Amino acid sequence: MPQVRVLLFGLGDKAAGKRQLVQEIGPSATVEEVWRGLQVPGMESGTRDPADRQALLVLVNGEPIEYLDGWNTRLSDNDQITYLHKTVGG
Amino acid sequence: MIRKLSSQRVLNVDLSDGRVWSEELPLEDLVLYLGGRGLAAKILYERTRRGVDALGPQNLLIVSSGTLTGTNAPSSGRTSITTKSPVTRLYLKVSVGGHIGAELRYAGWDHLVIAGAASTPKYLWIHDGKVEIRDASGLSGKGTREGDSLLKEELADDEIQTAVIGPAGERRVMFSSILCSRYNSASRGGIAAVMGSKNLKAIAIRGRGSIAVEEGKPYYELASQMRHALAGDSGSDSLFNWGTAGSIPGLNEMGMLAARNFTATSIEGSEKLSGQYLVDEGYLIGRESCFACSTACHRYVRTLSDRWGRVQESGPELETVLALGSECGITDTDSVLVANEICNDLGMDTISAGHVISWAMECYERGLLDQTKTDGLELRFGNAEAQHELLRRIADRKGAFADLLAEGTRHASQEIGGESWKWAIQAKGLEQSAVDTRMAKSYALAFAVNPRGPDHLMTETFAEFGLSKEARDVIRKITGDEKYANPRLLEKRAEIVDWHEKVYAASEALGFCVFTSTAAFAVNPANMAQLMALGLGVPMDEDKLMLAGSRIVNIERCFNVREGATIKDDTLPWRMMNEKVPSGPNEGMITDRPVLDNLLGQYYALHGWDLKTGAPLLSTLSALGLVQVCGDVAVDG
Repeated sequence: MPQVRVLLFGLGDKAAGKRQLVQEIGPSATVEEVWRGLQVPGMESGTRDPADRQALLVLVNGEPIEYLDGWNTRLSDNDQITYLHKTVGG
Repeated sequence: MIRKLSSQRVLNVDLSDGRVWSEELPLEDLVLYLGGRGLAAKILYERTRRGVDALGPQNLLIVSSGTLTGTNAPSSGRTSITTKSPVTRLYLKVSVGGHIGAELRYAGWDHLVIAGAASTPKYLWIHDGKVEIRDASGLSGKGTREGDSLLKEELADDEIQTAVIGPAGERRVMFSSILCSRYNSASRGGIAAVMGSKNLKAIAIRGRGSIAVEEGKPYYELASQMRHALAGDSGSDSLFNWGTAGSIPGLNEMGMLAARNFTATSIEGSEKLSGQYLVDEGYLIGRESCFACSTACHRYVRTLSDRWGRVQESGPELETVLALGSECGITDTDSVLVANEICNDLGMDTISAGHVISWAMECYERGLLDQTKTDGLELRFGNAEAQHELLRRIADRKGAFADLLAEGTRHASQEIGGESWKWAIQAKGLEQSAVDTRMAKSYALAFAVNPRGPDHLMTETFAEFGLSKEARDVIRKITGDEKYANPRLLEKRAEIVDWHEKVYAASEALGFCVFTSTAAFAVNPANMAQLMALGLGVPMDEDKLMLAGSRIVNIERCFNVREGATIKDDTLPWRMMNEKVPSGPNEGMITDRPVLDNLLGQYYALHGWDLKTGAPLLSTLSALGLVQVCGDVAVDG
């Protein structure tokens, strides 16, 4: 079964909290499907809603999904997906 | 005293002979140059001569309130300080938040133009239509914190707003900064060295007047709508929650976190530098707002250990934690808070201070420096103790090595020699802020043409990343297609930079924080123009506003051309153009000379600037109505 590594930043009880897990995926799995399938204690359930997802920065192997196929980006074995809050300012 | 918002009253002070006088600028100029940064650029051009000594009495230090500052326009409290930089020897504008701009307006003036140099230390006391040049000998050598406190004590008023230089400014450190009422640092380009050269230790302001807008009800209704829109922008929440350092986790994961003098793009332990970590662990004890701002991105922090000393003061911005943290190989939170406070108290720009030390650390690691040359400091990456000590020595110019670094990275690399110039991350003499311009092409172009040197605080093109709907909308508006919201593309970069330059110039002239217009996007050229029209009772629309932005950009360019700048000065640090991104998602990327030349060619053509020299064409200045102002440096065409 193909696997992906999932990194979650600040989506649990701590803003800087970092979680890492390995998830098995089916053939042609997408970023969206992995997100919906996540079972992480303490993670904000509200962020599963499409509107709230606008506040998330999602990376596949460090690449923002905006440069890929968005939430429909298909995943391959050993990909790394990162979910974290969007931020601005310098 | 109630003054009209359209007033542009200038307070002139000549510190050489103590003369003080006021003048009113014509309304016509306010419409053409928008006030603030725009009028300051015009004043600097017209009232200084080519080759003016930046640290001589003929240079001017111009403090300008934003044109809408003092009203409830959202986040409109920014103040511009304009001069000729002693380190780049070119145009310099810094923008600072806080309350000092509004206070100046309430005291009766919109611009403060300081000329000359006092023979003994002085401070300016500006209050309710009165000006005094006072003895500051009791403040000499004091840090900015104590300076602020002593002024409030002497003037018996805790409500005054202050702008104070520290020992670094007094000793003309080339990256010294002015601290405005403790929280807000006016940094970059050695702005405080200019103030120090005038023997001006501080400015204290108190105003009890007010500002009247022309069409009150619609003005305040529109301002309120803009404030609500800003609150709903996806960028505002993160600025409130975590401040600018909230971007650390994303930068690290995207391989864009500058580390070890730009030799790495991520660093182990980076989360300890993040704004999120400050919140989680209890370092953050408050959030602070600038005038008329509801975002409150400033931090108020404390250290949690005594290892480096106790601090409870204003907190670090993103660029500060990068420069004093990851760029020096340091991820100890307490250490970075202390280093930030050393810089703020002694009056030094954290970006340049961090980068001059990260450059020295790389020299040390490569064997070009050793303890015999560093006055005993073991300057390895990660050595926080040595960093703190060196910061203190630089501010005091204590010892030959610190005295050398106080001149900035360009000069220091020339003196140390070898190939150290290759890892001196500077152009035009200014240390680059910690954005990796090898990957992001609009940033690369914007940094190269930035009149004050390579940093993000003149034209930040964050929208090119396209990471929010609002950002992609901006890119679509500029280019016609959101597909150009990708920083690796070369197409349309000149257009993206051009638009941001004008919006930055207009935002700062009016007093808006650029976070509202180019990080969040709720404040835009259309509503800025509408608000200006309502507030001043003048004809203004989006096109006129952008045209005025273009005038500002062109005057600033002409200043540099007059000082001898050419196309060769529109460049990036050597490392950005010659060493590929070493690792991470952007591995192998680079903005090399041919790529930059391509971008510059597009940019000059779009601006109507000469492709060989980079100087504005006469036809360009004529179309902007600038021939009488700065046509003397134009190229025929």
